[in-house]
Formats: sequence, C-alpha cells, structure tokens
Amino acid sequence: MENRENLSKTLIDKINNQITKPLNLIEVCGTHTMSIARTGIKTILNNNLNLISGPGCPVCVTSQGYIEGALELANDDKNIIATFGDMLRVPGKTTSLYEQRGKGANIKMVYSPLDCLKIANENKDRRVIFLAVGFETTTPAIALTIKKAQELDINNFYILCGLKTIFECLEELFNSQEVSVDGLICPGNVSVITGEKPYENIVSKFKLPSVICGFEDYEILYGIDKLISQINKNEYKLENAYQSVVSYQGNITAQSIIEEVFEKTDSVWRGFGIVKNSGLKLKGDYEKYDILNHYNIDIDRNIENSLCMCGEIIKGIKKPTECKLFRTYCSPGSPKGPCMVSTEGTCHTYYKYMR
Amino acid sequence: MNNIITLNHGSGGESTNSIINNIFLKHFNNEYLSQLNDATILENQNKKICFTTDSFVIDPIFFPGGDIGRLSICGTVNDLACMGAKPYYISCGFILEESFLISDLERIVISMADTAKEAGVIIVCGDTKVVQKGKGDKIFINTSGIGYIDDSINIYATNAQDGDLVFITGNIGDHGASVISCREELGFETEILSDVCPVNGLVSDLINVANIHVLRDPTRGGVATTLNEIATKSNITIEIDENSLPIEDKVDGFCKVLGFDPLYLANEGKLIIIAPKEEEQKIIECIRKHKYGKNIRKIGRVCKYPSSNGMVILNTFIGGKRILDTLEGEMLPRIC
Repeated sequence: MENRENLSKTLIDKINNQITKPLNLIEVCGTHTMSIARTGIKTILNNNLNLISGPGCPVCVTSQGYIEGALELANDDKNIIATFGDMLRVPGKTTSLYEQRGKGANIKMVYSPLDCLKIANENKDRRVIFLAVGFETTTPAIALTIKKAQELDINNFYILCGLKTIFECLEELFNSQEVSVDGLICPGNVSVITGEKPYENIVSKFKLPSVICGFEDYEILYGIDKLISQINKNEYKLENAYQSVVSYQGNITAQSIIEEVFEKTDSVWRGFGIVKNSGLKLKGDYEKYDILNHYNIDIDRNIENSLCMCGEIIKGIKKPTECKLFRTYCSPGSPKGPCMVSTEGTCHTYYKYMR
Repeated sequence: MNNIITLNHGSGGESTNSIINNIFLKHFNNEYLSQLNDATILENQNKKICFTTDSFVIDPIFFPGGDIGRLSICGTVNDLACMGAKPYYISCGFILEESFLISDLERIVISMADTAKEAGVIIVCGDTKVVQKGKGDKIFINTSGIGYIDDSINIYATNAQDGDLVFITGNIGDHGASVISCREELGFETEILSDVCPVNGLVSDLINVANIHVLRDPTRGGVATTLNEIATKSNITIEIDENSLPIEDKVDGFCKVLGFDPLYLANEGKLIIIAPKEEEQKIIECIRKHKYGKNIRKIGRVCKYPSSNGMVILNTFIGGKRILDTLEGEMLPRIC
C-alpha cells in the first residue's frame, strides 16, 4: 500500500512539473472514467490538464430506439428479457425496464450471457431475449453463448443486438474536431481483446499520442505521464503500459470467435448518429438468433429527450454540469438519460464524485 | 407435526398451537412468553423508554455467518444500542409462506433464541400468520424492541461537532458482500462471512468510559450513506481517509470483480462512533477488548466548512479528494 501511494505521489509530481500549457487528454472507457473520478486524480493534477470522458460507456451510447425496442419486447408475455444490470434503469420515453419489472414484466438481471441458456432451458414455452450491449470486451462472451446455443440445440434463445466496436467511432470523433484532443488514454479492457494493432491507424492518421493503461490510480498516472512526455517531445506513437494483459496481437481466440459469429454493420450511437461499420450483427447460421427476425422494431430510431445532453457529454464537448437537467431533475435515483444510469456514465460519475 | 407450514398453521387453531408450543415456546422459553396472554406486562424501570421496530425480508434466509433469525434480533438490539439504551424486551411477528419447511423455521427460531441469549434480551411476545404460496417469500420477520435509557445519555445523529473524530469498529461491507456473493447465479466459491452480531455489550462498555456524541450502525446503504445522514443532521462536514478504511481482502476482491463499492454495502455488526478527539485512546482501548471490535479504526474527522456542510468528503489513497455521496437507487453490477 505504501509503495503504491509513494509511486502515485512521485508520478503526480512528475506530471505536474512537466505540464507547461493547457492540454486535453481523452479517455474512452467507462472504467477509466470511474477510476479517474474515484481516485480523485483530477483534484491533484495541474489545472492545465483537462481529462475528458469520451464515448466509453456502452450503455450510454446505446440509441434510444434500442431502449424502446427492448421495452416493446418486454411487454410481450411470450418473452423473458435477460439483461446486464446497467441496462435496467435506462429511461425510455415513458418507462424503464426496471419499472416494468416492478409491474410484473418478465425481466431478469444476469451476470453472464451464458445464464440465458439456463433460463431458456427452464422456460421452453417462452423466448429468452438477451439485450446484447457492449464493446469488444463483452462481445466474445456473447458470441460464445450463441455458439453454445447452437451446440445444445436451444431454439428459444435470441439476442437484441446492440453490440458496437469502438475504433470507427473514435475516427469519427477525431475527424469531427468538435473536441480538440492532445492525447488518447486507450481503453484497457477493449485492448485486451483487440491488441495494439487497431490503434496504429488512429495514431498515424491523427498524429495522436496514445497510451494503453490499466485502471489503478498509479497505472492511470503512469499512462498520463507517458502521454505528457510524448507531447512535450512532439512525438506521437502508441505505447502499451498494460503489458501484463495486453499483447500486440490481442486475444486471438476471442477475435476469431467474434469473427465467426458476427459481421460488421452500421450502427447508431447516441450523440453521433450513424457511424459506418461500427456495429455487429449475426451472420450466416447464427442469424436465426436475432430477435428482429420476429419483430418489426427499428432500433435506430432517434427519440431522445431534447433537454438531455448525453449526446454531447458522450463526445466530450460538454460537461454534465452544463446540462440543465443535471442534479435538478436528473440523478442516479431518477435518471433522465443513460449517462446518469450507468455507474460508468460520465454524469453518474460527476454526480457521485465531483461537485 | 407435518414437515411444512400450511394455511392451518395460521388459523389460530390446533396447528397454530402446535408450532407455538413445539417451536416458539420450546426455544424462546421464559416466564413472560409462557403465559401466552394477549399482551405482556413489563416492569417499568423508571427510566426513559426507548422503542424501535424493524422488518426482515432478506434473501437468502441462510447465508454464511448468519440467517434471517439472527439478523432480526441483532437489527433491533443494535438500533436500541445506538441510542445508548440497554435493550431488554423483544417482540417478534412472523409471516410464513405456505409450504415453508418447519425444520427451517425451527432452525431460524433456535438462531433467534441463541442470539437473544447472547445479547441479554428476552422475547416476550409474538405472532404468526401464514399466507398462500406465492404471496410471500418463505419467511418475513418483524421485531420490535424496548430498552431503557439513562437521563444522562445524549447520543444523537445531530450531535457531531467540529473537531470530533470518526471511528468504525471493524471491517466494512462484510454483510452486503456475503449476501450478494452467495446468490446462486454468481457461482462464487469463496465464502464471505456476514458480520451480523449484537453490539449492545460493546456500546454499554463504551459509554461507561467515554463521552460519545454519535453512534450509528451502518446497515442499508453502508458506511457512506450513514455518514451522509449524520453530516446532514449535524450540519457539518465529515472527512474520511481512504487509506484508513478496514476492508477484508475477500470483500475487496469481490467488490472489484463486480464493480461494487464496499462503502455502500450493508454492515450488521459494526458501529460508527463520533466523539471528541480527547476520547480517542479510551475508545480504541475499550472497543479493541471486545471480540466484535478487534479491528477498530479511526477513519476520519468532523469539520465545519461554510460551503460543504452536510457532505462527506473522501481523501483518496493518492491525496486527491472526492465526494462520498448517499446511495441513490439500487447498486447494479456493471456491464464491462
């Protein structure tokens, strides 16, 4: 413990001494958002350093159309909706899955997508629909579940697919230049799966200093230190400061299982609209597990609350404190947008940890 | 006796008498209860009476380190203790679901009897109802408690003052982590024990040796939520040092895997103590002697800032600061 504190304090001093002008560093991982807030890093780093939260929380970037679609499916008695916890409280136009569960709708929280197969076996007269939301970190487990369903001949299991890949959205973000960024803190969990390779294009195209780092306080500080060094030397390259779990190639097994079950498609991101090739859909023999074969639901509908600033907050253009709903009508107990629901959402993090 | 609870057991007839005699009276045996009157007459000790009630609907009903029965006695005893009262008498009401196993009921009642004995309280009245299958969830218990409190005692959540120190009597988050971790779908193999225990003995010794301003047991919502309640009621700021929080490795690991924060997990055998700083040594020495207080830690202090009263601030491991807010909504494990 003492070593960790000493290391962190040494890094903080080093970072603060190296910053000579205002700098914007962006992270695009919900776990980084939360760790940065939880550890209080922003309160001890030089004021010139601005840490921006980008589109790193999969729940936060899920389109409102997807939420409405999930609610429509939940309303059908023939269905059991299975979902990760975060999705339960995301508000739809008039209600949420959490509220609907309270009124008796068949909605179950699961910790792993594989749990759905057990539920499907125990409820053969119902469709079990998993709300598949996540980035590259989560996709392999979902792909594995689909394969298992195939293997075990389970024919009442489906997914409502809202899976996304982060890199196309990052390109879109940096292309738009709506937010000026001097360095990128790369998402640690995503990198475990993808490896270093997908960042090469972003680094060279945008000449962007980039570091992959972990989530402990000293790991994030180490990553920031590396970025500032690059910036001060006018360098731009990808550095991997999370080599204990991230390799150059990434997790090949996970990558090939994703490739086997899914293919790329366009996807709607809250705040961005359509981002080409940034989503996943089931392919080939696995298409039959897509619940949209049975329902006419448009998950790409845009029906957002006009006062909710989640879209701009996700892009890093605005802070939660600039949203009229923040703290007045929108809180973790009564969220108006997904950024307040997810424990890794920017608004939730600001609400909990920063005033 | 049958092996399961039926609607007959709630009807007030022979079946009801059978469980009263063979389970409740058998294990809660005392002169008050054995009279089986409609109400129990108690002695007045010519002191102020302290009265509280609590209901218990926990699932699972048996968890590592305890069960709903032990919890139902400790919850009420500890609430009385936190006012500086000496708990004496407990009532208990049961709502049983049809087909609940009688052997489970007996196991819970034995646990309540053992816990009551440990806490030095007696169960003086009770009630049992049975609901149809599906209209309850195995067993719900309500306990109410009476204690007596000396006139000299002045322990309230409104009493925290600038300069006071904040203590916790042991590891945080054990009960919450224990209960969540033994849910079947998680498949956790590591056993995390709940800390459920009666702390009235500990309180009784403490208030004899030290001047105490606030005592609270950080149950639902955890240490963070309880500290916020105190900060609001006393209109002060509480500063907590993250590096002084006692957290068991297993609980810490569990929280990291699922994305929970131990500061928001329930505790059922711990006390938050707020007292003037000159009482520090006496408090630590007194609590450390108890089996339920061996890991007492000073975790922070009370301040008064014009702009942040009513808040709790955490000094992080690396010297940063963040707000420690009240728990809002249910804690949900994260997606990734």
